[in-house]
Amino acid sequence: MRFSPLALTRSVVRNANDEGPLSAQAVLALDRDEEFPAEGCAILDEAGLNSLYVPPDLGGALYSYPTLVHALAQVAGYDLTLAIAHAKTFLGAAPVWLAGERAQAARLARRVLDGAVVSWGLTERGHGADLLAGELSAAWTADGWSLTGSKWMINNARRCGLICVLARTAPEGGPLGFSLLLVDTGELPLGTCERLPKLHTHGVRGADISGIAFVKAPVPHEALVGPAGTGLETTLKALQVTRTLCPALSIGTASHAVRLAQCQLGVLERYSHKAAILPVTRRVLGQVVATLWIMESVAYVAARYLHLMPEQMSVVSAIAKALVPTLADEAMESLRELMGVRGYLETDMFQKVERDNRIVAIFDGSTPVNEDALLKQLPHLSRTGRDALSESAAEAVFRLGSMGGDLPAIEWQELRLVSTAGCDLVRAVPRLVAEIRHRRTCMAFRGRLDAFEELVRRTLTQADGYVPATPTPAEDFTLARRYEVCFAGAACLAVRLGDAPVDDLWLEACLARVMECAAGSSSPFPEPDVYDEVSMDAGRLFPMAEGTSDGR
Amino acid sequence: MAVDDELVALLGNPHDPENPVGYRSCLKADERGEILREGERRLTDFGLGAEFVPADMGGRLRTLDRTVALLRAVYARDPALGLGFGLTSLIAAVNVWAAGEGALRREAADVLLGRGRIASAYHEFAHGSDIAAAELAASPECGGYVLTGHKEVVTNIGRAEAILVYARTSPAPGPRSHSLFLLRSAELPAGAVRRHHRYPSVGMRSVQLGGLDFDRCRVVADRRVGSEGAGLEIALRSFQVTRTVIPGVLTGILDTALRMALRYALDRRLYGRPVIALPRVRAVLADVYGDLLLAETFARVAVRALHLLPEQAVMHAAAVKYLVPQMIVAGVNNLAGLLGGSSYLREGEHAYFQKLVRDVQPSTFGHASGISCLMSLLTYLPAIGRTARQNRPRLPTEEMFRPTAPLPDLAWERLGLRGGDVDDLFMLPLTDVPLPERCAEVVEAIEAERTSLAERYAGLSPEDRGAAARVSAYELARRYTIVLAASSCVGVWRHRTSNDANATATAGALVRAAHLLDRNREMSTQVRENLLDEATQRIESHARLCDPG
Ligand SMILES: Cc1cc2nc3c(=O)[nH]c(=O)nc-3n(C[C@@H](O)[C@H](O)[C@H](O)COP(=O)(O)OP(=O)(O)OC[C@H]3O[C@@H](n4cnc5c(N)ncnc54)[C@H](O)[C@@H]3O)c2cc1C
Ligand SMILES: Cc1cc2nc3c(=O)[nH]c(=O)nc-3n(C[C@H](O)[C@H](O)[C@H](O)COP(=O)(O)OP(=O)(O)OC[C@H]3O[C@@H](n4cnc5c(N)ncnc54)[C@H](O)[C@@H]3O)c2cc1C
Repeated sequence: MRFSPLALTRSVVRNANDEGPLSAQAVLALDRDEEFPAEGCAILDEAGLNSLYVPPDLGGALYSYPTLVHALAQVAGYDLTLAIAHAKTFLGAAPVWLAGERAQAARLARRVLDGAVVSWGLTERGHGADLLAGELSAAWTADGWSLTGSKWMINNARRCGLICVLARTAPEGGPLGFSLLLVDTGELPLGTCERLPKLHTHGVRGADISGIAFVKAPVPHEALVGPAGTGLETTLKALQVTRTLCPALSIGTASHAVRLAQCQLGVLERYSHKAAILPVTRRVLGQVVATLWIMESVAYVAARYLHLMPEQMSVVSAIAKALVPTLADEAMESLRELMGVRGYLETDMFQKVERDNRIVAIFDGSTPVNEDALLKQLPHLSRTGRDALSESAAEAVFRLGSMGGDLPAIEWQELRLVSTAGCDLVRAVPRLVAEIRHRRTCMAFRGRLDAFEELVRRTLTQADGYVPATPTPAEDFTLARRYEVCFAGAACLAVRLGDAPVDDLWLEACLARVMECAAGSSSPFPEPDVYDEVSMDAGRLFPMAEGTSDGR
Repeated sequence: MAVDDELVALLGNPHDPENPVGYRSCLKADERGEILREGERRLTDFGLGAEFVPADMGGRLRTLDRTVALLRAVYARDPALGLGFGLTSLIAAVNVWAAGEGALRREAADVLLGRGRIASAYHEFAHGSDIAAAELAASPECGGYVLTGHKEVVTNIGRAEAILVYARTSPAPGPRSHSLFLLRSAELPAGAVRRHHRYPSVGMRSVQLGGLDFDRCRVVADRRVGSEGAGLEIALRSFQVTRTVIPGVLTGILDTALRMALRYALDRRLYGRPVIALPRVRAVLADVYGDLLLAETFARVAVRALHLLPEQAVMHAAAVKYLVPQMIVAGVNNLAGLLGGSSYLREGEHAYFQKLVRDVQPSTFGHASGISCLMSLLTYLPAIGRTARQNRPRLPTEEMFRPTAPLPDLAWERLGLRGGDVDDLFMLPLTDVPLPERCAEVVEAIEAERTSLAERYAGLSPEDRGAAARVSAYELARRYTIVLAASSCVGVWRHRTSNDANATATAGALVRAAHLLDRNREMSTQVRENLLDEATQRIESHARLCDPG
């Protein structure tokens, strides 16, 4: 099956016009009324977005993860509620692509291609990120499994036809005490499954965030995803894939908000000037644009990483999920102040984007959870950090940043709980820097490049003697952040060395922003004047559909 | 007895689901975008309006520390109730008091003493904080004025008994082109005024935001507050009061958010232990507590300085209105991250939190945006820098820092516009007093910063004023506000009596000030643990997180 990004773009743009179902007006009305974006979902189905949720060998169109990231970012750039409502199916199905038996996966693939809604149920009331505390249990019976317990705060739990649940299969629990089961809710006998009420949420108000409760629900033996007892492992590996998709959501909301701000400040007058050219406002806008560019680079490189070096995704996904939504949160705070009273009115799209955006840093593993995961792997990263990079590894790193070239198929089996290989992209920083220096002779930002190289060196030295402790000391999270920032800078370098539509000014702004992030949380009055030059710019790697120039 | 005890008692137990002014009821009003009637009724019974009327006019307003304490208590319960009922009338009334003599003084007092409200109509979408550009015209005609134009997003404009309107009385540019008018809603000629539909907002949803179109609306000359052309000057003087008062009021929001977050962290369990056992969670809570203490102290000292050093209020007001709201919004956001999914639900045990997340947002951009506050500071910094460089630090009276020391009445006429070339708070000696443990190094860093800032202020070029000033100049102004906040803490510590400053609180606040200057300066484990002990102890014993003034 083939997916046409162009067709999706066209369809989205068409439906966002006038009073179409994706227009600002319609989207705001759904949000106000807490209505599910059913029409929007139908439009995405029609455009074949669900084919991107299925691997090609199962009949789907998931040839390229960056394509999925881009498609989802586009949708999120109009309405995050719609994006998460639709894409949840990919999250629910991912564990099956990863660990399911061939027949099970093929069945699920057909369902997804037919438009089935699949949920992923990990969270339980009162347990949050502590997956090992899960109480929903599955008991082995002669006919299959008997499920009892509930999942709560689950996307699409009222609407899903299938739900992949993490269940306790050994009463004593523990890392080997859980299993994943793909439950077909349509086949459950009456009275064994209850959908819990929709939860009223702060943002994504139209989404179906709800829950599901089972009472001795019988499911067949084949519902098991992978061998019994591997539920936690499969979940952690599937999360590596889904956490690499989450940045798409942040890129959508951030670029949406940037558009809105540029549009408003470009016409608003203050002190006899357009607000957008007053020094502070211009600088801050440019800073946010640079932030968006870093977010894109990390997301883009991480998505290609999944194809090129899947065995390192435990590190890469944690970085992407920790850093990108956090940067989006920061950008949103800056923009909110620029938007002032207008962005606070319910009739304005900004306030919706701002509320919606907050969820991305919370779900699918919060920022601290991901940073904790990163820190646990830091000893590997520093141990391998000083070794020279093999030629083949270096080649793979250089491929991370290019736009074209066929990507190898995603090797789901190659995902590892811990990346013993470390993170080749960060290891390759000296090479990347040398290459940039080599290619461009007179660069305005030689100093920034030196500073970045020094940052990476210092960070790796610091990581060198690092010994993880449980619970993780608070100070360690600073080191995690610094490592993420190193990754981000490296991603920008790789992108610049590839064939993406970026230039030296782009790289200079990105590096300036990277160094700001490395110095701690960003200043409200940023120093780098390179931001001034990019203040009215837009995303480059995941450009938003045309027809959005009115800022909507 | 704290000043706000009676009011707090009147608002009842916030957690009681049956309490019509409890969190649950406030949340319901928020969901529906409706006024919290019972809340307003209780505040009326308390006579909150009288708190905004000077004592010589029959009210209870003597010193603003009391006003802050009362409004803060309301904000701690429900910011929308506080804005919609109280703060707005105060903002309007202060203009009338600042204008000095005149019959309208009596009238404004009577409205408030008679349980009424006054709206304050400054805002026009097209001009925002740039009030010198406001367009609504009051053209002199036949001995009176004719109003034409509009005001937008004004609290209570549709239901207040009186409306203070800021209007242009001369088309010429410059500072003498606007005047203020106090209109009686009931007397507005029907055909000449059109009400806007309500402006629905994402937070502060029970506040009634409206607007008015004036179409050749006749107003007699007696309705003018102060002399013709004095509007901007009166505004700038009254802003010195309101911008000093508001930050202290806003700390009530962070106080409530922090209590809720502490409760959450103590009760929720992860990995077999309470969430508060996670070191990172502890760090967030301690940082925010430090921020709250810093904000609270700065806001309190600024209010006291308003009475004691009114000539310097123009700087202090701008500084405190910039810094404190920034810290409060950031603090609520950090705590929201800590609550995770629970901060995202509009129902259940923690539903109130997301309301705070929405309500807190206008703190930074409402009633003088942060950027406009720093812009006004830029005017004064060069002179302050020069003075600070030449003179030895001087010690303001200890009343500035003693929360319970009596204050003189506010000297409205001494609220200057020129500002001085001196800021006693900026020049406060910092290192000549024994400091709490682990503070000396931090305070030395702050003092070094101040010395270097003074140099740089003195060297600011004349272009670094106004909206077109360089970005780096704004950063210098931001650092000024942080030095003032830190100085406030040192001052309070220096003049402490037994229980109005404790070492833990002072250390926590100062470390956070240093962090604002240098992001790499993190809190030491010892200070963090002390703060957390203090906070948990206070939560468990139902004590206040900040000692009342
Ligand atoms: C809940 C609520 C209640 C309100 N109640 C009232 C009321 O009762 N009465 C009333 O009159 N108003 C009221 N307002 C409106 C009022 O407070 C405005 O929000 C305020 O005047 C700020 O205007 P603004 O948002 O346009 O921001 P501005 O400060 O005007 O800023 C607009 C843009 O210009 C930029 N800008 C401004 N200055 C500079 C500079 N120096 N350098 C660079 N860029 C700059 C800003 O960054 C921003 O992007 C209320 C608002 C809210 C939200
Ligand atoms: C709109 C929405 C949609 C959702 N959709 C789904 C879904 O489809 N499927 C699903 O299974 N779940 C879903 N969730 C649940 C979501 O994934 C949870 O938010 C998540 O499980 C974390 O739980 P919690 O937010 O309650 O925080 P908790 O995990 O209870 O954490 C509490 C606090 O402790 C911190 N913390 C936790 N662990 C650590 C650590 N190791 N180190 C340092 N700090 C730590 C957290 O950051 C947080 O500050 C959804 C939630 C929302 C709001």
